[in-house]
Amino acid sequence: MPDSPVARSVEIEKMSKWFGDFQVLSDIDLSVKQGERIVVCGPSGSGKSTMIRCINGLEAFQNGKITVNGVELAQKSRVLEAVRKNVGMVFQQFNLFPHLTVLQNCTLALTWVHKTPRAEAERIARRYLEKVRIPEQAGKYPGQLSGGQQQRVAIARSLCLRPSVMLFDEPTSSLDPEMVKEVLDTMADLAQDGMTIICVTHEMGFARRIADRVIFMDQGRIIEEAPPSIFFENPREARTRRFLEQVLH
Amino acid sequence: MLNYLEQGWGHQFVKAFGMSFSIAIISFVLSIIIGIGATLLASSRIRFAAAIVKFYTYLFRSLPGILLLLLIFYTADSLIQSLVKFLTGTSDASVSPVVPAVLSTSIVLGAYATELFKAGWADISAGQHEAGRALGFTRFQSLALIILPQIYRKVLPHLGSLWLISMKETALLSIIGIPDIVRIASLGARSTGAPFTFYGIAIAIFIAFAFASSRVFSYLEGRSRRSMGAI
Repeated sequence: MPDSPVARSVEIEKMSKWFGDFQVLSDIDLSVKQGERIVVCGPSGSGKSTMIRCINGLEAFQNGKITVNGVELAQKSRVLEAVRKNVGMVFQQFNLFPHLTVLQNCTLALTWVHKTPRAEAERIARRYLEKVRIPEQAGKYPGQLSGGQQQRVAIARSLCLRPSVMLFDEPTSSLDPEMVKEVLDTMADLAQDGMTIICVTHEMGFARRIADRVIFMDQGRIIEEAPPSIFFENPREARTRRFLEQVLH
Repeated sequence: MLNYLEQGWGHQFVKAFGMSFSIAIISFVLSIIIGIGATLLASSRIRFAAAIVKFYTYLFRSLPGILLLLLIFYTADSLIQSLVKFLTGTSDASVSPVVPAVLSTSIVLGAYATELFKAGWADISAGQHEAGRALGFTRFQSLALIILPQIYRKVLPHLGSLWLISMKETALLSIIGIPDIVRIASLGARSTGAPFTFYGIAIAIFIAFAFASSRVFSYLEGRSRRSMGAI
């Protein structure tokens, strides 16, 4: 099947970014098809988080072009708000709203951004809380939940807006080890449902399990990209091999 | 004491309390508006805004309120009078001393409120702003629905103190002739020769007011603590 432009979910072309004089991203090219699952890995400071934060405009970039579902990103609030309606994001620190209950965390953007009637918003929120397997926590506040539960709420909160792409920025890096699995399982469920996923993570087992493609970044560049079978068994680049030796023990 | 209260002083004190309370509440609300506005300004990308806000809080936290009150009283009075004269052509306009009173207390308390809100703002992690943006909220929505409610919960105990200070500040207003609690007490003390009774009543009013206020604020704090998830 030829790649029609509609089937492209995220298209990054020759994107570069500087923090002052320091170049954090150089000539990034990445094309993600709808339903594709991408795992981005690399040493810290390699620019992987910055790259996915550019996709929903949390970071501005100076050169190149990013297109999300056919909309070209620009640092204008109207464009950004339109793009963000289609792009969900899950953060390392969860970033739930501590003053709102789990249910309110999920319905806030539905009612205010998407203008969904309250009853309908709550119905949607409960459905996704069920999907991440914590419907019984709806009335609690984030501070009353474990890290793993909070992250699952954060995933539900994004899903409520029915995004076409989900960005995960090291979603398990600030979790206690025993909670990593529940979050990864939730993400694997999503992958099975055909959600387009771009995930920055150090969880190589997860990458092997769900990724269609693994991207390795170092010093602001994409060094290598390959399906997991090739990436883990037979990486092309020496830097990738060195990295894998360090993270796979 | 009942004797004095029956002689009409009781009525005077009720009116005086009403005056002090009204000025305190207007100044308190204005100071919060100033505090939030200055905090937003300080965190904006506008050049020099942060420095200007810093200068404002520095200046008005270091000046005694009484100096500012007198300054505003004398300048505002003539300014407003000449403005009224210019606009209406009449020269007998009189400006209620309440206007400079409210202005000066609001400006001074606003400086403290600004420091409070700035600290509250700094306490909100960047992640909260980012989550709001990532979910598609506009800047205003994010502020009203996500950021300010959290700052409110953080600064609430301090707002309680600010509220008591704003009530106490009204005692200064007696020097520009506003019939507040302290002025009525001192008038009564002088005209009856019973200073202990009259100042005693004033003290009792302030203490009762502080007690009632602290009850209201601890109720609000309890409510906000519950809603932040602490059991």
